[in-house]
Amino acid sequence: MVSSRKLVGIVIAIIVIIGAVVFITTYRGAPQEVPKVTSPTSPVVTMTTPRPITTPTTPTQPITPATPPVTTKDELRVAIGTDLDTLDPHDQTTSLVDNVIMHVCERLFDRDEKGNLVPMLATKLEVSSDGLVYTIYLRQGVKFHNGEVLTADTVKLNFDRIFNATAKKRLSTYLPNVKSYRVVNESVFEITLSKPFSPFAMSLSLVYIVAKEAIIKYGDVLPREPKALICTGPFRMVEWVKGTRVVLERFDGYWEGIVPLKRIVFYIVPEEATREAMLLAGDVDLVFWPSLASLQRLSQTPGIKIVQYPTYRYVMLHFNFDYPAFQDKRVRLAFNYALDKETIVSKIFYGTATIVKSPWQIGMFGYSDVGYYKYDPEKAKQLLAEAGFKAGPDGVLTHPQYGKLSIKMVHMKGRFPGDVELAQAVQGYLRNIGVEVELVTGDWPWYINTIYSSPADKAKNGYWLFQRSWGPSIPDPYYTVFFLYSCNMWVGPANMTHKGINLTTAGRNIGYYCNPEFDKILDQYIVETNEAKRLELAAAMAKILWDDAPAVFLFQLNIFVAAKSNLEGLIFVPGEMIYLGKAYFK
Amino acid sequence: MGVLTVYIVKRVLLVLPTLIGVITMIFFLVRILPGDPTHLLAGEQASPEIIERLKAEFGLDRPIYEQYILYLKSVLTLDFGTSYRTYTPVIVEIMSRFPNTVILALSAMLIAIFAGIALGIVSALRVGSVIDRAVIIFTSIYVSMPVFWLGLLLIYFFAVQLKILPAGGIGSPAHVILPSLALSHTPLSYIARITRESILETLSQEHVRLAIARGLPLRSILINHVIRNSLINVITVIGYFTGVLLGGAVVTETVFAWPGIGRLLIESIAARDYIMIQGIVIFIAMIFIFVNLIVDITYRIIDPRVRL
Repeated sequence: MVSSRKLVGIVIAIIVIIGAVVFITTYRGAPQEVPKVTSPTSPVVTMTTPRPITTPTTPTQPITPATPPVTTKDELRVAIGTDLDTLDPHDQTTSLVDNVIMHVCERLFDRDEKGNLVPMLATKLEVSSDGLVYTIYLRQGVKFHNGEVLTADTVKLNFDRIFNATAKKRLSTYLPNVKSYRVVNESVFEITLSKPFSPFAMSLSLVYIVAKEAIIKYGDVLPREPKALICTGPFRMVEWVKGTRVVLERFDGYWEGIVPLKRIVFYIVPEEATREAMLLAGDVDLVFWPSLASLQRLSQTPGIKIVQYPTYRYVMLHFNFDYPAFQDKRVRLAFNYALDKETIVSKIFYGTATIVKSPWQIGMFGYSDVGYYKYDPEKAKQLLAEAGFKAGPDGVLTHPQYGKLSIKMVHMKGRFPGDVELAQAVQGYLRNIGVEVELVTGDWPWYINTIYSSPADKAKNGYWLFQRSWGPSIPDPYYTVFFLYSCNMWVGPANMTHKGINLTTAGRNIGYYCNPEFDKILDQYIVETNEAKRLELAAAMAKILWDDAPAVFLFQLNIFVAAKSNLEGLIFVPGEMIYLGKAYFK
Repeated sequence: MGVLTVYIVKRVLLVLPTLIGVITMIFFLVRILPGDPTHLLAGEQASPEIIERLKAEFGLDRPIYEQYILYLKSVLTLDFGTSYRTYTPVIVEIMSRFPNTVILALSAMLIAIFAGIALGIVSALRVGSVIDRAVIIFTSIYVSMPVFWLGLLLIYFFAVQLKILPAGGIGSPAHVILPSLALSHTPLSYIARITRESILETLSQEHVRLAIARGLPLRSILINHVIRNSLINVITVIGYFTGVLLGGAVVTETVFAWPGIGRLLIESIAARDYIMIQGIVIFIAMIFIFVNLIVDITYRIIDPRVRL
């Protein structure tokens, strides 16, 4: 008896000891919080030209110090929802990750809020008149975190890595038709294309440049080792504790001048209610994506402000043209008139979305208002009546040829705030005009699998309408309209055809819309290098798509953050990103 | 002792077929899940080459039986593969999160064991009293609270209102308090109720009544006869919950931004990171097998009459 009692004691003791050891070893680096410095000796910070830079700065131009803001606190604590997956700037998967990486690494060019290319690591771009040769002039005197100087050799090494034959990086997707590239001299780099591709210039705003050392010495561990991330940005990454935090520290040799904040800590907090609580408790200063429902409450809380800015993420409904009724344009127009977009934006999205009046996003090249399908249920009903639909005994419209207007709509859950509520609203509005909609819901992986399935699978399941959110990385309409509406982008298994058109696994045209007239103009647009002509062609494409209504055009989502009200200098970079290099506490 | 050794050897040998069963099941289950990791990880505007590159990298271009045999082989040599999403070895990912899960699970279990047993004993010894009823009502309500809601309540009270504890994350011992309180609510309630029932049952047994009749001091009766004999049921519950909590607590970890193994599993499922999901599930299965073994051995030690 005595010995067994001892054994129980030993087991418990072991558990306690293991617990204590693990506890101590894990927390050995305990005080993670850096004391909040509010001393009057805080560094006086030199502000340089405000971003976005709209006029190209020549390398010789001296940096003009503006009135320098003095920050009252030099550590910024940010709560974000998702951890980084890879640090590799050439192999990025989401803009969420870019939000951290962009402070450490920089790109050849940046873009402004109107979708124009503006200087960053490169100051000038020349495109040959045949649209084949792109000459990039690099900024001089730019130093990497390790002291290396930016040269055309460095850029070449980066391109070698992106186009590595055995392991092409994701970034290569955005740099099509590259035939060759070469170093012209120390500060000039040249790319030659096999055929003209006018959105190419804008693609250069995605090309991050890392130091030679990062590629030669750390190329293999670049996805996961902060020390490998040697770039030119205003901060360097000093720590990444998976699932917990990413710590950035100021790089004093930054080419644009020293930035106000000394340290930025990104905390990974998946639950939006917790992120909000952390802000309210004073644990963090800035919170990405608080919950929609609490925006109003937060904005009324003293000491807290809400800031929002449009992203490129376009939300719409795509028609499946394999459903005979959707081949009748009047039916598609009726759907466009049936939804009260203004009410949806204000009631479901609490004003964090912007109604789009064009087939592509505000902020993209060539955007202009094309038209507006204002909420008009009577007009919708009339259009359906003209198309031959009559209400059946249960109130649902039927057609002598197409049958009952009863469809399934595929939508996603948990992809963006308000996605499920939007689907339910659509169901309600469509019921008002006599359309019966059954919602089919799933998480993002299921949804992607479903919308990319074969035409036969979609038909078999009766999936005729798709809720869609589309957020391209490049502000050129090509990256929206080619992917979503071109006859060359019909999605499905490789080596299969549908109605005589080849399917592709990389296709993103999920509703099998095809309009040869539109494709013809798009082909011209892609190769045209003259900007005025490109604008003309863009306008023509926009008109065709808008009038043809291959989708129910809805709105563009805004990125919104909640911050301490004394946090100033947040710069929204189009494409769901916020630049914190100019941020300071008032 | 000989019987015990034989038993342990037998149990350890039985682990292997169980593990192969788990590996097989999880391997095919994740592939039945709708969703294709290559499409998810390639991005919306990916070129066909990138999709092909990822397929080849993940080995998903091979026939499924070949993938299965390769995986089985590598697991048996303790190679769990490399995450599709983070390019980090699965075992490194798990080991970077597991200590956090252990800390959370053990602190929650410590709270649950001490508070639960104490409440159970008090309640049983004052059966029918106001205290007893209060304990019953409290544990019933406590166990029914969704941990998500309880967690947010704790955050709002202690972090937002009183500002005495951090709302989430890790970094200091103070960070452990709220999540372990939230996580302890179910085991605490169960342990309290089981302790109460077991003590009441033991109290009604003949040897206890005899001891009371013999006029032995109450303290000694309680410790030597009642509590010791009641422990066996309680240990089953403790063992079960320790296993459950060591397998990660998805909701608690999410609410408190606690980087444990449960959150890693959910993130991996959301990305259909097959290799990572498989690794985590096998790891959790091993924990369960191990904890069950410990519980069975502890039974035997506490009550030698238990046949193994």
